[in-house]
Amino acid sequence: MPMIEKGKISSLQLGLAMYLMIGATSTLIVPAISAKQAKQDMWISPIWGALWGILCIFLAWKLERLYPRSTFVEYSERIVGKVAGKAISFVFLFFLLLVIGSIIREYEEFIILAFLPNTPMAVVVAGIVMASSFAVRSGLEVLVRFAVLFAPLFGLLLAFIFLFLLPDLDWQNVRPVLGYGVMPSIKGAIEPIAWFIEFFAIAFLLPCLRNRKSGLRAGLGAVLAMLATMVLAHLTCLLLFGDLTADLMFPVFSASRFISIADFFSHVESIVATLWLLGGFVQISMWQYALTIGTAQWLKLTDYRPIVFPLGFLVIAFAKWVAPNFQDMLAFFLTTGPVFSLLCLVLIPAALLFIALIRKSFGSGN
Amino acid sequence: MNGSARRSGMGLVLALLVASSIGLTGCWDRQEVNDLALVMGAGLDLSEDNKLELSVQIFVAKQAGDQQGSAGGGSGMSSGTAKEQTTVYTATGDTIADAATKLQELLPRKVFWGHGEVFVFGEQLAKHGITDQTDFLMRHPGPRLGAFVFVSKGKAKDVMARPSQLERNISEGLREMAKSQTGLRVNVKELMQMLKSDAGAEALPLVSINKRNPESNQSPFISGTAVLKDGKMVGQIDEYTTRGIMWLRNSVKESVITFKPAGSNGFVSAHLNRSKVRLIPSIRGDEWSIRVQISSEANLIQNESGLDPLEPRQANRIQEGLNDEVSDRIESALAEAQRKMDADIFGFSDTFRRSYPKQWERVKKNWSEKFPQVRVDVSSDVRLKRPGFSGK
Repeated sequence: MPMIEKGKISSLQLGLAMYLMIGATSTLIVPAISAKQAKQDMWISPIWGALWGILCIFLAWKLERLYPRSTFVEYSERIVGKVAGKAISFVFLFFLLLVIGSIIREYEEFIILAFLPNTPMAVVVAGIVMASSFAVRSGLEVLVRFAVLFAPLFGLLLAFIFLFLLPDLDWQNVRPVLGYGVMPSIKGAIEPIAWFIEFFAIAFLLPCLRNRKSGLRAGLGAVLAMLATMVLAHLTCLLLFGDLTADLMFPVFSASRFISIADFFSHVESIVATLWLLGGFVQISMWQYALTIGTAQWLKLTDYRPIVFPLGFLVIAFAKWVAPNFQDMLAFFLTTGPVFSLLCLVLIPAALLFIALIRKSFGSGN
Repeated sequence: MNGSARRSGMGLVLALLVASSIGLTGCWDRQEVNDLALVMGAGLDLSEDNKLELSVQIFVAKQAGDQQGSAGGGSGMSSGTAKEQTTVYTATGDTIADAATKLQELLPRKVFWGHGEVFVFGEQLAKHGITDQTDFLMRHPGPRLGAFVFVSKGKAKDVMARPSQLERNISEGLREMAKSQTGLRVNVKELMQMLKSDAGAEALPLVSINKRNPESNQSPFISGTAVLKDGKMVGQIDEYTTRGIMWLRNSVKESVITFKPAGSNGFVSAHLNRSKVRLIPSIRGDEWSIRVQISSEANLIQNESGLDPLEPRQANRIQEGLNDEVSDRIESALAEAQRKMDADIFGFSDTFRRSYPKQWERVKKNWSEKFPQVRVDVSSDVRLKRPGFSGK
């Protein structure tokens, strides 16, 4: 079957796209949740998460090596047969819907809480989904160019928040490092892990890579960049707020509100939120792209463009359905979310790889 | 055929763009500056019937504009208007949020907290407890964690009502005074951290109204420290001892110390900068102790002692006197806060927790019993660097 996506991307584009696809939300709520368990060791938690990210990149890469130029939806059918493959892909696509819903919801809650308390949720959500739908319709090559534009901005933004806060940071807050053993930092890693295993989404981009050999390196590079970003974001919160981080909803944003240099460089949170949303736009578009291309392959369509907007509507609905309110959204991130992620992004792919390796070694695979 | 399809596609895009302009104006949350009442600072008091009395200082933008407009021909307007650009409104309610809602009823403009740089707790409220009130400061999206917090002698309302002679208004004045660090400097974030810490004690700058000046400029100033335990004010510390507290909290930026060196009967004043304080905890068996290591540089600014600072042996005596004086100040702060009030406002608890996490876990429940027994050794290393312009 010919590929639906005609575009080809470079390894740098792949790396930056993956970085924003996972990373942009990782600095909103995650530090607060890590802080609740890990306290002063919260900055270590992303390191445990990154190990899972590497595992997921490896899974996706290995599967694509075995079934060149095909995505998760395509090779799952070839590995476990048509019916079982379709069923697995359906669960996976449904999971993608849920992921996009929760990502958009997280942004929406942040925007409404911080800036637009009176604006209806549907307007905020529809606004970004409309933009991302147009982006998805333009194809992968356009999407990754957005990533190349905005990923450095996003990384710089966090670096600047850290730099501008330097006078207020108290390095004593990191002590005692591992003073209560490694367990607190591992417990605090639940949320970073839930974010890092999303790196399996690279399975939808690898087939379009111009030079297939560089896929693994680009993926691992993205994991490392994301690790650096998360450690920096966690450190910023820890050094500025200490134990108070756990009590804040969006600690990195609160930190950006704290910036005040020489009396005139202050109140910069609008700029911060704007840059944040640019990253968020790429993130949402990338996930929506994965959902669209996957659905098109699942339905064996010859073109994915006609279903971009219908799926966009579904995404808007899911952003609302994912949780009735903020506290349920948080509960979702801590309970259902990670479990569902672990199932779809680690266990199912690992099982598929296992079966595929057995079939290949017995020579019955094509 | 193809052309018309493309044209209709362009039409669709255009229609969507036009439609989006309706949604993207942000009509629901439109906030015009001329519809806002900018809160510059707020005072919180306990009213007589145990309710919360909120006094906000609001920036009067109208007057600022008028003054410019009448600059050409105004005769009686010229005096005073430049300073009176704020006004104070007071409302009472069960909580800050409730009082702010009542306040909104008094105002034609929407209360906007984003520029509130100063929060002053009245003495009565501080004694009653401030923990509940701080929740608003953190939960509401308006107030900033970087705003400074004070406790006032007497009512906070009286502080907010005072004019500032040098700054635009008293909120700005208090903010500048906090930043210059002549007394403690505590912002909302630091207050929340103190309230959350295991120490169980908080220190806030105490503001009182300067009665020494003539009536016209009796503006508030930072006159010492209010000591709180678990959010309730238990005592106050005067200006002299506050310097000792600031040394221990490593928040001395610069200071002037005046003392009599041993064996002379005149005073010496020295200006100290580059001050650094390290707290080094140690636990030996059951005995907990902290070594306070101070390093600083001093320049002479007045010398009536008859000692010659250019002569090394006599300069040493001045330097010894300096160190004794700094140690004395710290001693007096310890005597007040550690032995009299049993309030760990120096962050000793964090110091121990960071170096001895396991031992700390065992003691933290009984910290208020352990804290007065902690032995503190002060080793001051202030070095006399320059004698100033006079070579006498």
